[in-house]
Amino acid sequence: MGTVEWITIFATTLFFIQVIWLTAKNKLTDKHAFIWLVFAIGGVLVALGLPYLNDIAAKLGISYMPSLIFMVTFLLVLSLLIYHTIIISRHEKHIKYLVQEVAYLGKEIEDIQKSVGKK
Amino acid sequence: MKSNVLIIIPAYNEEQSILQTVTLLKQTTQYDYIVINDGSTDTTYSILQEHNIESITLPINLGIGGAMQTGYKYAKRHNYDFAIQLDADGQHNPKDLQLLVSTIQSTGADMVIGSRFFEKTNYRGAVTRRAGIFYFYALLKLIAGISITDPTSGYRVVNKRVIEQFSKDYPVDYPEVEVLAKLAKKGYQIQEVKVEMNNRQGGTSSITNVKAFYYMVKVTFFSIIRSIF
Repeated sequence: MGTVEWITIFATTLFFIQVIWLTAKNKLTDKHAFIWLVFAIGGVLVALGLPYLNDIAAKLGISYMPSLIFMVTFLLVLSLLIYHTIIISRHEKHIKYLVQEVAYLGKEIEDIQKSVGKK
Repeated sequence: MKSNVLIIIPAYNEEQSILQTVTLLKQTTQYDYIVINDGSTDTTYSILQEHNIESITLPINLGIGGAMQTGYKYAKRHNYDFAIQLDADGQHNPKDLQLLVSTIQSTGADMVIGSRFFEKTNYRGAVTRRAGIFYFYALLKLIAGISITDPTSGYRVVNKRVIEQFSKDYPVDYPEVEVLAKLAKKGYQIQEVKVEMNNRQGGTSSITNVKAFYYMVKVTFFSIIRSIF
């Protein structure tokens, strides 16, 4: 194995360890931790299989193998971004609902306090 | 006695005009009202408390869409038959409230809009603003097949069906035009009546040139997308 392979394996393993650490410390919820674990394991596998990727790239008509990695990674990251934007949008809706409920309940409490005060 | 009409007044930093608007409203009509204080950072909240004005205070600013939806939810929970949006800046004239309510009752429409252009009025807005309004008129005609002369007017009354609808789903920002496209697509009946509008009684318009551009692009995009799918 050449230097590039070793560096790639080292970097992806480091990423894998980081995900494990974040999961262990509960910095990631289970659902998101799972997605990143899959990514991290995928990264390590790609790093180990770098020599074979040349053949795959050639069969797909891609003359420069790293272009294949960039393309796949780009598509995966794009999908992940869309997924996270969906989650943020959902959370925004939930926050709006909660803010409205808090305000409404505040009004209810105020009305009750006023009616009790009158009596 | 509780009225069957609720006037919803969204207010964000309206310390200069809110008291005058509510006072005039109380003098003009017997309808119930609720001010939705949309996380104001000025003295709006203190004014509302001090003068015992019926209000709901949102802990953070949700924008006009979130504030109006809060009002529609309130209207639904308290079983109002009609809900009217009235701006806190004094642009909407409370003397037209009766006309809006009588029109929605007599025509059986789902929404009645107070329009500055339905018939000739004293309104003289900036050319760019009028051009924007005409653009939305043409857009609605094209995608929803309805002729609304004043699609950006917030002065509008809706019936129970629409209150129910808006409680579930209401655009977050710049909702006026978008909801018209949505309602038209679902077969709701929309009418207009002539109203006179005043100049702002306080504060400044929140719509800058950049926001106006965003407004046009956003409303166009979402109205088209949601009218297709």
